[in-house]
Amino acid sequence: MRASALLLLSAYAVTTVLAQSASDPLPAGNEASGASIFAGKGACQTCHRVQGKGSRLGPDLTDVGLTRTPAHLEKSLLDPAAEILPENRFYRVVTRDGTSITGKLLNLDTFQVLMLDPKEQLRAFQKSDLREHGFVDGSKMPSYATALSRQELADVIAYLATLKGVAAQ
Amino acid sequence: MTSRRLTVLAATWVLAAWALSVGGAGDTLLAQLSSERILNAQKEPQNWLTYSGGYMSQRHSPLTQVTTGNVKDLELKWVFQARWLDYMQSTPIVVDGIMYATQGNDVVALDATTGKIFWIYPYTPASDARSCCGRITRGLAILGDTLFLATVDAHLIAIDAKNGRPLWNRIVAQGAAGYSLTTAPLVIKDKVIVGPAGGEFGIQGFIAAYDAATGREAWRFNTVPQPGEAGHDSWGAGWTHGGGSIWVTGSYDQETNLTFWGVGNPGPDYNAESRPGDNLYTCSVVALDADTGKLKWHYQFTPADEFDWDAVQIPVLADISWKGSPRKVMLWANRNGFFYVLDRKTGEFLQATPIAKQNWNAGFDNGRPIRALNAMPSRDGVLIYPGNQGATNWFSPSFSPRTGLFYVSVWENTHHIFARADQEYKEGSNFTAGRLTTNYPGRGLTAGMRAVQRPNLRKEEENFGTVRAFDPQTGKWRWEYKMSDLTDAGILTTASDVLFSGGREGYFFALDARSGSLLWKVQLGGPVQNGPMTYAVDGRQYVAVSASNSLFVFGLR
Repeated sequence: MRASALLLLSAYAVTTVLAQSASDPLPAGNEASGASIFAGKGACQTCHRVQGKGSRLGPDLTDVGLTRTPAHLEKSLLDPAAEILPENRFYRVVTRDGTSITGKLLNLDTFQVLMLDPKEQLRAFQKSDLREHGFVDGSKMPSYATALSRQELADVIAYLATLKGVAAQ
Repeated sequence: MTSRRLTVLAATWVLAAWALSVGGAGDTLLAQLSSERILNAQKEPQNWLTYSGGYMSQRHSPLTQVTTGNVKDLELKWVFQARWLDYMQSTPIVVDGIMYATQGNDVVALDATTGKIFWIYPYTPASDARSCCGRITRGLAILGDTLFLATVDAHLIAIDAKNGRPLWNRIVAQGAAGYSLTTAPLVIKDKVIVGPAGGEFGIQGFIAAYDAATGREAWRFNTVPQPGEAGHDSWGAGWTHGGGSIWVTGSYDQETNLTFWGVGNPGPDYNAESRPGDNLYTCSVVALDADTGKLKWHYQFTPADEFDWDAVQIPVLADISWKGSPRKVMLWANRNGFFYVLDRKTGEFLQATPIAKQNWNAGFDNGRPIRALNAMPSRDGVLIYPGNQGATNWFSPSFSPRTGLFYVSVWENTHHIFARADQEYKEGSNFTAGRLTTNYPGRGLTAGMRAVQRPNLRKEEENFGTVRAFDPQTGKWRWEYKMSDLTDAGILTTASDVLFSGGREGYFFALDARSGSLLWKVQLGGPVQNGPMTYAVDGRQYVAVSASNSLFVFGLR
């Protein structure tokens, strides 16, 4: 799977659930296997970050086991575009020289666009300097309904459920 | 003529010459601020004598030094950083070079040219005071050498404008029971008029006038009529906690001697089951005799409200041509999403047109709104546009007699899903009997009352703020100035056709009042939350606006 296709695990999808998940519960997951898939086959770190490792473009999943139920996580993996929280929105700008940059939107006002660009640089653009700009619809993260087996999905969810934040030393 | 008489005459002449040189504009500058001066505020445009700049509440200044051509040359002259963590929602008063402002419930007298402090009157409200939306005050009133402060624990306090010492302190209502005073008082003749907020605490609202010299109550009008009073039969048993709050300042028409006030929502906010009827005079404008408080007329914008649509907006008075004849009207952009034109002598409904997306109203029947099918809250909830904070709110609009346009800050595309719930009244506790949800993803896009400073990530179809310029003749807007985020900023226009406003993005900006074109902007680092105002000292015009908890004053380079 191409790494660029693995953007954005929308960690809270509530509206659409594939029929398969509703009628066919996942098997028990293996956390260690899930961690391996997260770092390897799933290429999740291309966009997501856990305890300081991985990309900052997608939601940081360090404490996702505290904030999301396994059912929520399953929904997000199967239908990432069902719902995307505002803080996970992407925005595209095209500069006057034709350069197109799509990044994680950090702030928007009447005159400015602030984002985290794909190189994880904080960028501020004046709208008046842009050829075009606008929200990116949907999610670039693909559904994992077919990319992973049912067992692999269960493993990833089991791993994510163990993520409970940064422990105090 | 004796030498003694000559000496007295010479001394008088010297004193008069000294007064002119200090004041720079004649003896009025050293005179006390009489009620006649307030009545004729337009004759001394260098001052800003009431919350809205004058009794007609147009927030329109005759000053013309700052123009559409030179407004780009405005620069910061001074900042007053309040020792106060909440947002400033107040408009300062300026009298003869002295600015009277608030920081929280404190009063501050400042040199209007430098921001240096003459004195501070500190006031700490009682700890058991209740307020739905911040322990704020929206400003002061002045008469003679006396300032009037309304406090969040429901006291009305007279303060010596020369030294900041309290003169009298009147308990208007019980703060612990949910009554608070957040409005700037209005002085008419020898009386000071206020009313309590507390619509979310099941208060029994009223408007009351107090003798300016003694603080003694002169009259009271119950916005929730008591047994035996007209309108009481519009309530059922629910009148006992019926709300009807007052939290922005009214207006005054000298010709009819009427004072006009907008009244807040009925209580509980979201469930009318306990209050069958129209719930007069909530969500209404009331026209009261300024001497007696007797009701002359009323118009109810939202009968039997269940959406929290307080009619707490500034009553803007204007003398316009209406269908070919001169007419004295009231212009009112309401939280319920409509822009109304009323005859201010009689309260006659002349016109209402939408200011933003709405789905609750299916028209008007002789001025009474027709509720759209299914636009009734249920236990399960119903989707209503606009949301509970309305299509506009407390922030001041402006009317320019030059352009004939009415300018208002609008929230477009807001909604809530209103659901009734059960709730027992408990004194001093929040009493809303309902549940609000939205269709927005997450909570960050909700159009809430508090101007929280945080990154804006909303899409236009979710909601946005805009300044719209309405033609009262048609009820439609001629132009708009759209923002990405919402706005709680009032609007100031001037006789040089400059419009000042701002928003939650933190910009303070100037527009061409005729076209809406952006002329100038500055980033102030926090939400602009009140109406800008303007004044002049020694021939130099200043423009003041607060953002977050600081007051910024600009002038030409």
